[in-house]
Amino acid sequence: MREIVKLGGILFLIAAISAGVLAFSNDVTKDKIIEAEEAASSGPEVANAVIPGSIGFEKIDDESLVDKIKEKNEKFIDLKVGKDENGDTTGYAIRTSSPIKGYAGDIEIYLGVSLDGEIVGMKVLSLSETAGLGSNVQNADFQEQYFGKSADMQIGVSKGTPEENEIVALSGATYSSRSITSAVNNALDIYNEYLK
Amino acid sequence: MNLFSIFVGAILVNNFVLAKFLGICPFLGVSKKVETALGMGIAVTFVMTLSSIITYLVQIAILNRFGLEYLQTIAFILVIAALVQFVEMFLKKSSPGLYEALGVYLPLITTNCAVLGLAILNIQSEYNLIQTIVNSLGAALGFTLAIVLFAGIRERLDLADVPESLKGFPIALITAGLMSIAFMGFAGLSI
Amino acid sequence: MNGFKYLKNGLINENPTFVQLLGMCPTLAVTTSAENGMGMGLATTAVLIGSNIAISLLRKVIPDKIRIPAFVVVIATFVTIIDMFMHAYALDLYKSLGLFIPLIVVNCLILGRAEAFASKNSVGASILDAIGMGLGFTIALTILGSVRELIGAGSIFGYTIIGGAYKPALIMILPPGAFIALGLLIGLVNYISRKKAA
Repeated sequence: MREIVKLGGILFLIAAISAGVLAFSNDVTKDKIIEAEEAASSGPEVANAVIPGSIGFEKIDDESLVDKIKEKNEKFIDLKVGKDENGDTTGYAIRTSSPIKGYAGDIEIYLGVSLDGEIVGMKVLSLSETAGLGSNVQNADFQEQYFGKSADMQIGVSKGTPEENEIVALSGATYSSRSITSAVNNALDIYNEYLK
Repeated sequence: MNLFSIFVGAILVNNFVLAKFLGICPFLGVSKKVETALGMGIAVTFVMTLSSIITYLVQIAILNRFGLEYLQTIAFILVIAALVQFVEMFLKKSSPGLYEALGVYLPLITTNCAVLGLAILNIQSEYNLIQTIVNSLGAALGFTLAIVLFAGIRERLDLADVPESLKGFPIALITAGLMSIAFMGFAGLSI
Repeated sequence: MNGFKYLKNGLINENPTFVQLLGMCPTLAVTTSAENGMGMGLATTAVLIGSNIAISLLRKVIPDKIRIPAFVVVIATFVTIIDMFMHAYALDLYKSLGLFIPLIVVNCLILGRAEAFASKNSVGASILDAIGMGLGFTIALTILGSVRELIGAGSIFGYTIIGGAYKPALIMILPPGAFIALGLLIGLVNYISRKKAA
C-alpha cells in the first residue's frame, strides 16, 4: 500500500510540474498565436489579395449590421471594409463559409467586392481539400475566373465551355469547385441584400 | 450529420488506416496472421470506444470548463495509458488465452496513433456524445476490417514468389497501397 | 561509442524509418511534400532532444515501476510545447501538419529512445543519440516527401522542377502513393545493403 502511494505521489508530482511548465509555455505563446492567426486572415497581403489596392481591413461603420447578417445567414462569418493608404474605402471584404460542402468539409473564404459591385479578389482562409486536387482552388488561375464578374448574378459551375456567369470547374475536383463557388455566391447574396 | 453516415463514413470513406494513416504500426506489425489480427482488432475496438467516451467527458467537464485546453495531449494520453493498463489486467484474469496471444502488442495499443488520433478528431469535429460513440465504433471497425483483410493477403503473400529486396515490409507496404487505392473507390459514397 | 558513432548510428545503421520502421504514421501521412516531411522531422527531433535530456536527467529519480507513464508525461509536455511554438511562429507548417503534431507523443521512436537509451545513459550521450535519430528520421521523411512531391506535382520544396508537358502522377500525393513510395524506398535500401554485404 505504502508503495502505491509513493509511486502515485511521484507520478503526480511529475504531472504537476509538467502542467506548470505548460501553463507557463501557454502564457508565453498565446498572444503570439492570436497575432499569427489574425495576420493570416487580415494582414496587408491578405487585404491586397482580397481587394487590390488595400493595405488593411477595418470594421464597417454600422457594426450592428454584422450581427444582423449573422442572425439571418448561417454561413456568414464577418464583414470588413478595405482601406487604402489614404484611408479611403476600397471595397467590402465578406468572410463566409460554404453552404455546399467540399470533398472534405467546408471552405472558408474572404470575397472582395468593389464599391461598384464587381468581384475584385478572394482569399481562401480554410480548407481541407485534397492536396494537389481540390486544394488547387487556391491557385491564381482558378480564382481569376471570378474576378470582374458583376455581383448581380449568381455564379454557376460548368465542366465545359462556361457561359458568362459561369466558371470552369477544376478537372478532378468538382466537389471543391462547387463548394467554393457556393461560398462566393453566399457572399454575393449578402452584398446584394445588405450592402448595395 | 446523421449517425448512419458518420458510421459508414468512418469505416469505408475515411478508413482510419488506409485513408487517414492512423494505426499503421499495428497494421504492419500484427497482420501476419488473421487470428492475431482479429484479436488485436477487437482489443483496439474496445479501447478506442471506451477511451473516446472518457476523453470526451474529460474535455467537456475539465479542460473546457477551466480553460485548460492546452493540457489536452497530456490528459488524453494519460487516460489512454491508464485504460490500456486496466484492459491488460482484466484480460489477464478473464481471458488468459487472448492475453498470451496478443503478448507485447497489448501495451502497444497505448502508442497506437489511431486511439489518440480518434480522441482528438472527435473533439475537433465537435461531435456530441452519441456522435462520438458512433464515430469511434465506426473508426475501430474500419481499423479491424483493414487489419484483417491485410492479414488475409499477407498470409497468401508468404507463399508467393517475391523478389528478395522486396520481401517483408516493402511488399507489405505496396500491397497496402493497392488496398488504399481500392478503398478510394468509396470516396464517391455519400449517404 | 564515441560521439560521432551515435550520430552515424541514428542516421544509417539504425535509421528509424528505413531500418527500424518506427514512426510510420507521420511518415506516410505528412510526406506529401518535401517541406512538410522536413518540418515534421524537425519538430519530432526537437521533441526527441527535449525528452531525452529530461529523461536522462531524471533517470535516477523515476522509479522503475512507473517509468512508462512518467516518460509519457514528459514526452507529452515537450510535444505540447512544440505545438504551441509552431502555432505561434510557423502557422503555415502548423496547419499543414495538423493532427500529426500532437500525435508525435505516440511516435514509438521517442518512447523507444527514452526506454532504450536516455533512461540508461548520460545527458551528453542522450543528446547525441537524439540528434542522430532525429536527423535520421528527418532525412528519411524529407527524401520520401521529395520523391512524392517530385512525381506527384513536379516540384521539390515548391520549386517546379519538371514543368510544362509533365502531367503529374497525382496518386503519389494521395494515400496509396505514400504506401507504395515507402515500400519501394525500403526495398531499395534492402537491395543496397544486400549488395554491400555480398
